Amino acid sequence: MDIVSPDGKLAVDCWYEILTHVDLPTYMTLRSLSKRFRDFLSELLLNRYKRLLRNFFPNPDEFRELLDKNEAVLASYPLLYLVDFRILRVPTRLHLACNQFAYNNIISFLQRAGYRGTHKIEKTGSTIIPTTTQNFWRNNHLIHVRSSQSKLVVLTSPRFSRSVDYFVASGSGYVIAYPQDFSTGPDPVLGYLGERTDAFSFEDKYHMRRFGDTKCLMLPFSNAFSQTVCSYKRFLPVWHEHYSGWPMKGFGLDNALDPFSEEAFEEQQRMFRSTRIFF
Amino acid sequence: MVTVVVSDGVTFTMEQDVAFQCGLIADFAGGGGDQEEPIPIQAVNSTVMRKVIEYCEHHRNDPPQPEVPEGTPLERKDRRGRDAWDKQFIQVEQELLFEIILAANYLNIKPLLDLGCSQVAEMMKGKTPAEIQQMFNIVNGFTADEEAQNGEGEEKARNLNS
Repeated sequence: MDIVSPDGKLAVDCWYEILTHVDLPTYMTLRSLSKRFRDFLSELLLNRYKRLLRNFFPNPDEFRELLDKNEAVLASYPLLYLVDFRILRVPTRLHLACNQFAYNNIISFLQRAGYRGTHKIEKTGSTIIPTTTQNFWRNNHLIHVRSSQSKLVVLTSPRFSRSVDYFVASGSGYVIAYPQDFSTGPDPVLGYLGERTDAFSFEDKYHMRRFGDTKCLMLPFSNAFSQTVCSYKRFLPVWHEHYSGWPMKGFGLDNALDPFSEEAFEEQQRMFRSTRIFF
Repeated sequence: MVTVVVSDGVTFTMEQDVAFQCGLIADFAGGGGDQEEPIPIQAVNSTVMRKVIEYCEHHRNDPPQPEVPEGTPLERKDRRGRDAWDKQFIQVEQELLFEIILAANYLNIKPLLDLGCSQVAEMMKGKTPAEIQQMFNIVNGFTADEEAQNGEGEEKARNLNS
């Protein structure tokens, strides 16, 4: 699809170059500038995404190498990127970075906990929780995660058109669903919901729920494990800048850790040790 | 020497190392020797071309910039450091600034494009949507509902900054 310049003066390429210089608050202001501008930014992201993604994230080998540095043991199948652009409609680079970061840590966590997967990772759009389902979730209804006994599914948030830039500030939720018992059964279903946690009313560190036939462990953002998984205030900004090229200014996060630094690793180790895991 | 003729008929003659900072001119000239025929630059007028040449002359001895892949973090990009001269150079009227950006894009002068775009970004920084709308002469075109949602968004943006 051709992209039309939003102001009719500067060429699209010029606007793209300008966007690489703006900080996040300015970007958000631009989104609210005019309908044409918002459409432009949305289309620009969609059209650029495949190319951007290639640069933002390491290829599977590099990703594996990064995980190895974190002493994460991976199964022998290739890692896949997790975001379905058709479903997400307008994902941000920020979300992608967060998604990848969360996934990295979930895998790392599971491996450390003794999980050894043998099945391929599912990446099709059908495994992403649709908006309607998530609305049920928000209303505290149980949802049926379409899990497969032979697939490792990664779920991600489908709702981005408006909250796209804000979810990091408002928190995130995680779900790990186990089709069967963890110790003997097939691979768990991993989920990451980059959504507000106000729909979740967690009181303890973790809650068990049953989604249909699927036993799930849901981890809220406030949970110690989730802090390990995301801990965005400490890890994400650096991760985000590293892979997106989009500086997160104005968050007061200047002391963020590089997620692959020794310091970050020790921090994660400390969190793992202090986190009570039920299995 | 390389000669170009711009949209308003003015002819400029410059040395090769100045002219070849423009990717378009370098392509036209084919990297060869002196050009006998003036190269037509129809998308740029003489006022803007003077500024472009001024920039190219100032940076004629700069080392070539390495290719920076898209998505590279800003702080890692070698943006040829906006030195005092660059800052002074790009302090121009908005209309001229846009024309310089368009010319840099057309002539394929990446450092100048980068400089101009960063200046636009700098000009937008901290401004309200209304101020930016005025700056670019933009009509918003949102419905009342969309306006209300935008209001929420702005509030969140302010929270992010606080």
